[in-house]
Amino acid sequence: MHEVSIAQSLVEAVLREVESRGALKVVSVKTVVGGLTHIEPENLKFWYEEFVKATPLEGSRLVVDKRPVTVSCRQCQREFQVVGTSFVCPHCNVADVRVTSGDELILESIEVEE
Amino acid sequence: MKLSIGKNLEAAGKELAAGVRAALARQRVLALNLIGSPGCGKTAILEATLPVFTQHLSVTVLEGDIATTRDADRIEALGVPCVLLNTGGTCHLTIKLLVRALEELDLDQIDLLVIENVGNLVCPSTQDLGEDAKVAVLSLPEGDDKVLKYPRLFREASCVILNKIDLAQVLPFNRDRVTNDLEQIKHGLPVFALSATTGEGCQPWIDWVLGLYREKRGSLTRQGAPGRSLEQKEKE
Repeated sequence: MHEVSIAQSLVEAVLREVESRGALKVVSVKTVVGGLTHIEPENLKFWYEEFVKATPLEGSRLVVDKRPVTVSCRQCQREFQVVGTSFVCPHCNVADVRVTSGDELILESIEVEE
Repeated sequence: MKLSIGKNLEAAGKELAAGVRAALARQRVLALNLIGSPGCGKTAILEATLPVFTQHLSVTVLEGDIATTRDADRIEALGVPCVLLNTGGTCHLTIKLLVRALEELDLDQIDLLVIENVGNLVCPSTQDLGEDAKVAVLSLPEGDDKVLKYPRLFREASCVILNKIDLAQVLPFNRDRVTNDLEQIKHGLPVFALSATTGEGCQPWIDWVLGLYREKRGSLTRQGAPGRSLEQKEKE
């Protein structure tokens, strides 16, 4: 849903990183995207390819590692993975949780030519 | 060769939101972010309840709209200060736009800041504007199936306003379905069923907001910040 603006800030961030290291040739870029971010990987890749055109990143590949949503129940402290839309704890039967992972949006690594 | 980066792509926005939150805390301003579909009655709810809030608090409204001054005009007609934030096409208010608007305001003179977001159930829920509470507004004509279809908003929200209950007799809306779906997403979320048109059910919502304001002000006065209590303000 916000893939356009996220792809743009991603490309800017990658360009800053490689330029500060002496304009390396980028092969691929790896991102970690949590399930709560509402980001659709294919759409992010589409806009990434648009924004890298005519930049030193043109031709590089975007890898999206989509992470599941994991929460911790405030009542029993157990962690569980959210499947579908329900945040209900399978042990307590109550949706009273803290998100432990799933909201991340990270530029994890950049693969460059040796 | 692999370069490890580990950079959070939202870090800049989160930092700005944290800055706004700190500024609002320092000046003891309660900020609410109203989010709901176009036509769910966000502005109508403000029209129905701002006159009560302004009896107790100094209120400013930030009106988010893609274009036009229509909502802002309705707020100004109430005599409530209003800043219009035209996003120029963007489907939600961004933290950058909010920071710019706050620079124009004297937070010291404001008790309650109401942000009316762009009509949209999806995008505004992903933006932290540094607010104290996101308020999800849902109305009966939208249907009773919306909670699980747009779970992020209801997870982020601190309360839900269910508007247009005056239409309950003519719409096939199952309120239990909404209650049950909310329980799957966030246990114990307060729901205020009301009608901005008739005024029915508005009082619990007003009390909830005033309670949040007392809490915010109280927690800060305990830390030694100067400030009048709400009771003192009510006498003034």
